[in-house]
Amino acid sequence: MEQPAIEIEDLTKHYKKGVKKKIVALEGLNLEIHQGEIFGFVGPNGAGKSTTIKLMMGLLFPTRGRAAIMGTEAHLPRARREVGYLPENPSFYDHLTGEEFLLFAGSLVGMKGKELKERTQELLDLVGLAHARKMGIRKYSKGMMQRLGIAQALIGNPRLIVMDEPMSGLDPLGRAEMVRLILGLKEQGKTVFFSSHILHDVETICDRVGILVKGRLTYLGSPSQLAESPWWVLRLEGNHQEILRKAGFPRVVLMGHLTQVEVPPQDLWEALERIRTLGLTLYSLERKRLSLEDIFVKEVKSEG
Amino acid sequence: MRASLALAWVTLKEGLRERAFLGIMIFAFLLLLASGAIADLSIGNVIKVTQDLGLATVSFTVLLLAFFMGTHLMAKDLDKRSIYMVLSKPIGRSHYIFGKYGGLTALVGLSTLLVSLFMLVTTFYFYKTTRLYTPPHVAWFKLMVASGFIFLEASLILAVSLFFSSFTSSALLALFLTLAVYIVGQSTHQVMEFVQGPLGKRTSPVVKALAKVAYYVFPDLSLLDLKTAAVHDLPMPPGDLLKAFLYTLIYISFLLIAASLIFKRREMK
Repeated sequence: MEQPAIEIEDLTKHYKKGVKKKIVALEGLNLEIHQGEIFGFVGPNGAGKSTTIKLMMGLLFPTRGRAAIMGTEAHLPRARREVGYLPENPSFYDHLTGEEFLLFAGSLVGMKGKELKERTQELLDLVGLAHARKMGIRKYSKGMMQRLGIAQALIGNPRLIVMDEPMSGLDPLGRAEMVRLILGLKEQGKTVFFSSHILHDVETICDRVGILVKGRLTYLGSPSQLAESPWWVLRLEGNHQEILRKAGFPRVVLMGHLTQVEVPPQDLWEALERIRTLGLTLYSLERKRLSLEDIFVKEVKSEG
Repeated sequence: MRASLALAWVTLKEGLRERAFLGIMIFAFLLLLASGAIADLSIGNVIKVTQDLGLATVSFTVLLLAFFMGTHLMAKDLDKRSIYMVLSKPIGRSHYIFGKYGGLTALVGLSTLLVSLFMLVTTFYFYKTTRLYTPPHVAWFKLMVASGFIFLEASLILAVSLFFSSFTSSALLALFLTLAVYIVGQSTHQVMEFVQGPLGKRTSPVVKALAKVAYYVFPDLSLLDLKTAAVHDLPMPPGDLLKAFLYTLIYISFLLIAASLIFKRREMK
């Protein structure tokens, strides 16, 4: 069986607050990320996403449990040979130029000479910073910083890329570029693990998602599974809200020139019959799909 | 090793491009240029006063850089979280400490070299142009040795500042603690001499014990102060110089190892 890219067992992180109080940042997280997949880690602010990532990168130490990267315990420096990491709001040595920083990052992963120079040039081209390679990083825009962050994460050609909120602060164009880049990485056979609260992007590109709420994993599965719902959506031409409500349909809304009715699967045939009896014209009938946003809100609410 | 060297190189570059560095260096050069004019106002031997002022400027500049850069550059890494980019690479935390120290020492070494050279040039200029009743005498080599020991002192201060920075994120706190060590380190030798001398007989045993502990725990910076010996051409026994050099080296090593051990367990929140 193939080695998981990330293996997390009972990972727990508590912070001390004062003498007696403790803050639970993460509680008993169990997670396995397969090689070659794009995994999205979603959750509200303070859910424990960054804490999980920092534990994986050896920046924090767990209170309990373990995390392993490509089979190596996460706290060991050699575990980071196979990982590229993009922190949230990346910050650099701003007196350096973009090229100098990449050369530095490359030397930290053991690259040197011609190989390093070529890789630096290649990455600057990939992230579209070739024109700004001699520019001081402090003059970089937010989007340029994010792109430089990606480039430094990829410098050692890692098999796993971990990104903390890679879309945050980017404009729609920048986000689209980031999505393209992540998909490109998957095409190269790389594993991508990223956290985000921009649910649309997660839904579009992820093979699997995990929802983290108050330090606990509340959902783990594919976005399509997550979006599946047994409810049916019936759309009727014209505004028939009043008639339908009187006829006993509880979920009726007006959507433009269409009236939308939601019915549970067991009531579908009866609902169709009633609509026929009322003399209304059916415009469309389809299975309801929940957006990740709906589920996310539901999960957060159910966790209190 | 390569990672530490890369980090040292980047730290040196960062330091050289800091505005504060440039400001301190310009201030030092101006002070050295003015030293002749200031010495002219004195009643004593003008050349001796020029040397005194010159070495004081070297010491002040280099120590200022050590205090400021030592506490500022690491705190900046932690505060701005640029450290995440470094520690997420396959390097040990001790590489970070040693690399940072290497870069800072190179920065301070380079500034010692530049300011000392300028000090020697200005001293030479005043030596050649000042007319005195008694021909002036300058111990050029001893001036260079004294500058070298100022660099050693600054290297030790850098190690102290990195030690404190390894467990505190506040640059200000690290600066205060380093300053405290510097002040205590300047006086432990004298305090020890006092409590062990005839006047110390009346000192309480507790104070004596405390003075002894402070003497062994804090660095004895008086060993590295050769300014008076250089200006007045007093003897500098090579044995004493070697002892002071080794003492500093061992002290720095202990501090860096301790800093690495502490930093290894530090959480990057």
